[in-house]
Amino acid sequence: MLDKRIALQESYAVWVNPTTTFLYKCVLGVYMGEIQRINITLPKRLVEKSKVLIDEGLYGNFSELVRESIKNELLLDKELIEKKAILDKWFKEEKGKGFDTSHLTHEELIKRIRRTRDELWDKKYKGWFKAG
Amino acid sequence: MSYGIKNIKGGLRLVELILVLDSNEYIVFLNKEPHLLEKILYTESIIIFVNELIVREVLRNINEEVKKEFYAFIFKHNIQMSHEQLPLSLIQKYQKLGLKKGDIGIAAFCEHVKADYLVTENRHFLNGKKLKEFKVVNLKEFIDALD
Repeated sequence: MLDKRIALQESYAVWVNPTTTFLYKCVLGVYMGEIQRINITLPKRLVEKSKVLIDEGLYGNFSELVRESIKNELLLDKELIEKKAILDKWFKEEKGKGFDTSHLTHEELIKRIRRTRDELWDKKYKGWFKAG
Repeated sequence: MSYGIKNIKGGLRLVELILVLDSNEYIVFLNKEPHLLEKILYTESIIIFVNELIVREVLRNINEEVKKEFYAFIFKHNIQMSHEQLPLSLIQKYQKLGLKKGDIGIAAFCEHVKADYLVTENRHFLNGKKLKEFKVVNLKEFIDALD
């Protein structure tokens, strides 16, 4: 457990104290089995933008940037699950109500959406907004 | 335009523009018509917000089979979903401006999320009424302004 925690802290240590960093890295060296090296493929544009963040000193190196980003992503899991639950509910409620509009002209499509919007407003949303 | 770092659901992010895309933009895109929408989707400094009304409008105007694509689309492009109730004062504000009934909810939503632009192909939206809170443009106009 301890080695994993140290591995997670390594990127922060860079900013705290160079000696601490050295110690952590030594410990990490012992536990290298806990770290996995992987190759990733990224769009060139994303790599270029990442380099800017590293050059600006926000991250020590590319690995740190990726590690931090993944950690942030994991923290967002909860929000993503919530987002998914809401979206699932709306999709479930609208199941079978879809209509293929790909054959409609622009004006026909706008007219149809207008009708949908007004219907939804009348049936569902009119009394939905809170006072305040 | 509202530049700066904003605290959105995805964490702190350098944001230049907040957009609300009207349902017609998603529908046209999902119907695979030639479209400029991709240019916006891959611009990192833009955040797109969507709400329940827009999502349901899209779902009622696309083929059942395309719905899966729409679902994936929302996640892939990290579109910010808002399901908060809108303040009644905002609704009343746009009611007084004489907006068509459904448009009241969209305009109030735009102001609520502090959108810079509402992008829509519905040129009758707002019927020529000028608002200071956000601009109403079509996709081509927005892309031209972006360039």
